[in-house]
Amino acid sequence: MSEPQADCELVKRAKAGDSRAFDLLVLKYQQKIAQLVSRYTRDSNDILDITQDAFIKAYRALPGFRGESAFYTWLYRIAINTVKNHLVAKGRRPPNDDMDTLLAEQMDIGGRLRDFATPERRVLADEIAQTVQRALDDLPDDLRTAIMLREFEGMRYEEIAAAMNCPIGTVRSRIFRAREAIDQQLRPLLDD
Amino acid sequence: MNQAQHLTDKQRFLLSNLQDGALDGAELPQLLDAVAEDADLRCTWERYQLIGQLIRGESYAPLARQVSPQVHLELAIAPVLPLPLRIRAVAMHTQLRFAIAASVVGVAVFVAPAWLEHSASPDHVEIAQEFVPAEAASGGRWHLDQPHLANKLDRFLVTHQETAPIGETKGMLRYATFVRDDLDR
Repeated sequence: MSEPQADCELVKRAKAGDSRAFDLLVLKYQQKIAQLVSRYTRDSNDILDITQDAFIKAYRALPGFRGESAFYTWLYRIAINTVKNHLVAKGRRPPNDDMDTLLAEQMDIGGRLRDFATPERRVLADEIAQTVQRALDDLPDDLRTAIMLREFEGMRYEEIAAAMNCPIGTVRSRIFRAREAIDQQLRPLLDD
Repeated sequence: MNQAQHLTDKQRFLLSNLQDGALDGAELPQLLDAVAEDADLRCTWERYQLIGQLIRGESYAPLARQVSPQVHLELAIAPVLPLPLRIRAVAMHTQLRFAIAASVVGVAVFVAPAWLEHSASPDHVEIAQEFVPAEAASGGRWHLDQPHLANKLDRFLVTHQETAPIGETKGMLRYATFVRDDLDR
């Protein structure tokens, strides 16, 4: 299932004023938006402030979101405007090299943009990435295939069911069990 | 496995479905309630996102995790999100609008002609004679003594209710203003 469809129900609820639904959208996109903002400024505090500001602006502007573009595309534009306004307010000239919105959506922003992590955070990030990779490798074949088709290939449950020759219910279960198995390894590193 | 654990596992399963856009919309409100009450479920959602992100080979910035608590706090003290008037009117009163429009049309089509006919009957001549000249003399706008104008008003009302934009010019007051201004046409 594509991301726009995946966000649809949450966006609908958030548009109706349900901040709990919007909270889940923030959790989903905070990494992408923060890394997008880090492309324009190196200061960690600024990155956090601007990212937070972009989400607040998005929440207030939600009634005007008509769903003609993906939620992330819309959020991306708000974040870009927010960071540019911030730079202007600070007397700095915003760059004109905006990445095309659709291109940005398709590209791996996180992997290409400037990383704003300190060395300590970089070590933690690497450890987390390695842990997830190990947990993925340790999964039984059917679980690993299911979650890879979903997360890496972006396939819908129906397509995965056809590819793996099993019922959709089995696909749901396999993907959930895969996430749970990886989560077991990940949880201790995140101090939740 | 106790019942609470079973319930939590079910909600985590629903979170997994939600992440993939495969959750039944009817289950979402209950799931949102559960996430709002259980911080661990909220963290699970965040980790599920992170797992997907890392499987796709995207980088992870630990600092960015500080964004959601701040936004969460900000929204907790923010005023309730207002919907724009136009959307709110459409969303909340569509059925009511149809009901009112249907009632008005019903009155115009079925009751008004019968009432006019009844008013013109010999039994009520005395009342009509008192009423009609007074309205006509004061420049009243209904002109019930002139059936062709009454019919014109009925047509205006039906056309108005069928074609006026929602939320802007519908309703009896707008209609009355419209008819008064255009009576001479």
